[in-house]
Amino acid sequence: MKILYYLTVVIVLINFKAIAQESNYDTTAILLLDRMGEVIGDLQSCSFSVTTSIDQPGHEIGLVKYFIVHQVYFSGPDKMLINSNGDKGHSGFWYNGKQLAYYSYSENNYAVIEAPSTTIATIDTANKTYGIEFPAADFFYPSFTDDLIGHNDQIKFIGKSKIEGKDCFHIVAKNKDLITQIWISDDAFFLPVKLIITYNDKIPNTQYEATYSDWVLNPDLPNAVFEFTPPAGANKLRLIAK
Amino acid sequence: MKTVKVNSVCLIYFVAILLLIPFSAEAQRMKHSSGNTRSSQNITRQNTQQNKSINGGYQKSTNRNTTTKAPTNKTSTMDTKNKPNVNTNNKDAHVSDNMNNVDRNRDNVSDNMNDVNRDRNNINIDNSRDVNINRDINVDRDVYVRRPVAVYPRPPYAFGGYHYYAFHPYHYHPYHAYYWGPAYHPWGFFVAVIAVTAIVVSIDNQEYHYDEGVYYQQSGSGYTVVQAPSGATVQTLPSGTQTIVINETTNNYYYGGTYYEKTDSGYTVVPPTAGSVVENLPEGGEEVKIGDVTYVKLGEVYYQPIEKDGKNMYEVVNVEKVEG
Repeated sequence: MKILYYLTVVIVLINFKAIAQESNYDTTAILLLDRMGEVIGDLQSCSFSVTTSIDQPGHEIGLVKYFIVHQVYFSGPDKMLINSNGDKGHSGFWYNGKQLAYYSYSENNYAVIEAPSTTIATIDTANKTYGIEFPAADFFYPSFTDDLIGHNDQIKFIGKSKIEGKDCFHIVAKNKDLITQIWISDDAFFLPVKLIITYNDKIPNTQYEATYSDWVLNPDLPNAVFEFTPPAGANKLRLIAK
Repeated sequence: MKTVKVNSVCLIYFVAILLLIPFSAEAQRMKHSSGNTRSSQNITRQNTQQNKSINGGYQKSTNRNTTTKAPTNKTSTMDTKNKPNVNTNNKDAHVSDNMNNVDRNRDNVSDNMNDVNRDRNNINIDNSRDVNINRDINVDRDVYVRRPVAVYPRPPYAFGGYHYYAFHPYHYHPYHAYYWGPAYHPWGFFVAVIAVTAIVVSIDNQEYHYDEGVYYQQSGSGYTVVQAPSGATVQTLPSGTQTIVINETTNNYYYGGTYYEKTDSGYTVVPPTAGSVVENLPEGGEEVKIGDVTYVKLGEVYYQPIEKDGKNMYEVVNVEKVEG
């Protein structure tokens, strides 16, 4: 009977753990994330600014925080332009549905690679293949909320807060390697306002932060702005895969 | 019999308890395990104008269960976005020798770093100094560089599972091929005839013709300029050769992209030592973008653009694969 007793305890514990996990994903948080995703998914074009900061080693004194300001433009499913300027130099990405072009204003060099037929597939492929990091790309994945659920053990709605004077919903997602904090605007559009990722794996407490502003929804963006022509005298580079 | 009875009761009880467990947790995981390739019936497309949508329209699993923890195949940038580079201890470059040592078949490899005797060429590169061809590193990128003699003062640049070590900070300047003079020709250059002063150098049953810092191999009706074969020894180096101080007792000599070391027999071609700084690179290099950094790749060697004493120069990079 002792065996039966212990067996029952173990099974009940397993069951309890499964039930406990159910409550780890706050329905309010999921609802807000879905709302944000639906709004983004309904956009036919948009532009916004995002200021990112990242803690990185690579300096004698240890971690250093780098800042970059990005202007991002999306048009339809297959056009993207990103202009980035900051501590890592001034550079841009042009995607026209066929090719992804990189150009460094600071170094006057460029690279062009063949790209998939959609912006999201291009972002994903470029990240996987070349380690290219696109600012704010997470929110533009069509399955953002599902992915967040898939990669995190807990997702909670923390409450309301103000970010730079704007009312926001504050959501936190957590797994063993990182904590992701998301602020979504408390207005008609539910757009992302801020993202902070705190890493706990390799170098504890390093952070990536992105603050979004100047959203323009469904602007008319001429296709020509997504075409890249290398400036005279620019050196052509080869991108090395990861 | 009593034991059999107890076991039977246990088994029945165990099965009964299992049947009572909500099976949803496991089942939901399985349904969400396909990531990007999840079946369309599990997705609600919220967007009626998805063809024009910037991301094809929002997708939401209809049977989402918040107990689900779907290990999607898609690499979310949330996982990779600007993830801080790993700050490794500089000692890594010096304690992981075994990882990068190369057993170069044509060499008579010795574990003794100070005693390499290359039988075929009958060249003892250096018995007195820290010169050992076997110290070359061969990472997956086929980089052949000898380890530095000093400890790097800064963490490496980390990207794509590799560490890129340099003594000097990155300072970009465009790559322009340098010509060492009328006698110099870049790799791949074809000439119908070579100077009568050219000497024959044999390495690994390969015959080379050497003249004024340039190595030729016969091809067709003429000669093609080739990369200097490691281990070849010549008696003289051309004017314009740059001296590179490796340590208190060792110098390298650099000309046209080739590195030499003084031996009893003359000047022997050696791989570059990581940290070596040169002012000019020959034709045949290529600018490559590795993450945020633009290197010049010449042959199998990566050069980092740097600034030293107010001049644009290049440093030989030590590339190491990240363990684990």
